[in-house]
Amino acid sequence: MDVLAACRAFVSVSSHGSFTAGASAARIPQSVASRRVAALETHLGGRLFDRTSRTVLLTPFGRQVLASARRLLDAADAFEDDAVRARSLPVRLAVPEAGALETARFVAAARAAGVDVQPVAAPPGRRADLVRTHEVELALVAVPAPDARWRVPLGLAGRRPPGSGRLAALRRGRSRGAGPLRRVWLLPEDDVPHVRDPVIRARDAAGLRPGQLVVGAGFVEALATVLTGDDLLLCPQSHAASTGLGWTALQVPTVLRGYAPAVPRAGVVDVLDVLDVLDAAVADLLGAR
Amino acid sequence: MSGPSVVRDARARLRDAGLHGTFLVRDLDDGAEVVVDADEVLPMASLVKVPLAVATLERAARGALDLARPVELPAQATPAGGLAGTVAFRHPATIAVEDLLHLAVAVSDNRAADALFDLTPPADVAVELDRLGIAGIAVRHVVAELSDTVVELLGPERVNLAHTLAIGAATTGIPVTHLDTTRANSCSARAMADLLTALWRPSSIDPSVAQRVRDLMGSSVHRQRLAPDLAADDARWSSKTGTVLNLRHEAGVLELAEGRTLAVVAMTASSVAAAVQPEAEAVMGAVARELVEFLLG
Repeated sequence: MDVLAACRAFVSVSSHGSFTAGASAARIPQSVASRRVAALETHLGGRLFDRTSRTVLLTPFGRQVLASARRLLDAADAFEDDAVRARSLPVRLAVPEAGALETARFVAAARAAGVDVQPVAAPPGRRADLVRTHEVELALVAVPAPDARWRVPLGLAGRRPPGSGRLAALRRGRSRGAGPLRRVWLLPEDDVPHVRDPVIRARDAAGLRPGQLVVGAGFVEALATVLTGDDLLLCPQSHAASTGLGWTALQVPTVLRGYAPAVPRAGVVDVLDVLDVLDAAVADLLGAR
Repeated sequence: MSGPSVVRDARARLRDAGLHGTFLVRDLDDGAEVVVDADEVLPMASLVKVPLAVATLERAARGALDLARPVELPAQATPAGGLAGTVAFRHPATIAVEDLLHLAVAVSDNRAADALFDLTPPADVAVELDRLGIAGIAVRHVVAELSDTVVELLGPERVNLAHTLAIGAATTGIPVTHLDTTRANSCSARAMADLLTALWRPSSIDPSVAQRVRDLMGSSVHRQRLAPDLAADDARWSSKTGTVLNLRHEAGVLELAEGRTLAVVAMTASSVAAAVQPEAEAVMGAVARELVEFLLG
């Protein structure tokens, strides 16, 4: 039996004092109201109303269960409200930290494709955590290129990027009057083993000083330094374009950022369908094209 | 700059190049010194060829050894690659003891050095040093063992890995013989400086022996480490380099035409996993220069 519908009839009749008024307020025919209350009485194993007088009075049993019935109806209403709210929530997507302009373009492209996306920017280590704790429905996590759905080649951006695309171009040698050492800044987004470790090995093999690779500085500090001096930023070509800096692809080593989608293990798998719709917009956001 | 600030600056520059360095520069006439952690004992690598030369020549001077004695070096099916001197010879050669000394010191020829160690084993070299009152230099093994490290084991393709292991051994306490100062030939920068002082100034070492060793060191072909920053027409630089795993050393004497003479010893350990480190060597040279300038000033 439909317990909720029966409770609605019961509560409505009880608050209006008659089957006629109660049924009318619940927008059901009186016969239906009567039938539902009777079914509930059978279900609960006791009479809810005393039908002997012309007005309908609650039995002691009816008075006992009325509060619970009201609570049951309130809970059911809240349940329906949540579902409505949840259906209209945007998809929270954990993304790499990028400029405000790139992120805004991504949200706009998503909306144009009919998807309400709420980007949550976070460093690579954090994004996997966010999806695990259900703080986002979907995350773009950093993975090695072979496992990736989107791949982004990295290069050196700066006012004077080395045409050879090799770290060895930054060697200064013994000439002491040659100015400060040029450094390569590696962003937090690339502070992951599959990008950072080959770059460190290449730095050492090319004969650079350890301090010529800066790891762990924030995006603002790195970019500010690269904009005004002779240092270089390891980043995708799209980042260089938006800052007006020159860019050469890194040849030795060839390093790529890789991205793959991640959902919570017990999560709603069809949220991945969102990415099929947004594939091009995500590629633009990541700098993959 | 003051003494302490020169030392602080040196440490900072070495650290910046990934080096832990021990340096000692000493004016051989007035004894003034500038010191950066120079009492720390490190494996000495090829620096051992200098005390080997001293011991061999001392024995020859008292008639226990004939410098003209020919030594047979047999043919080698697979000579060592990437090295110069008799280690790279394929065919048999006969070389006199005196000429082996030249090869051992000037070219840092390991095979020539071990031919000399055959005549004067490490224990006997130690006895000579003791007799001469030269302390702080522990000669324990022959040179061939310097070429038997993880670098040779893993091959040139994995030199990065080999150096990573060697560097890690220092911090994890895993004993790597070549880096174990209780088993490898070892000394401190100060002990080497004392040996150089005994060679360049009157000491218990026979004067003709000292002259010969000075000449051998003046013929060194390895001039990429400190020489670029120290040598000039008016500044004669005589030295011996030493390199094994992540250790890079050079010990020598700078004789200025103006009359001053400085012993310069640099012994370093690198935390960078690369065999070829010109930047680190450039910093060693620059620090040596700074310390020399400080003493001369």
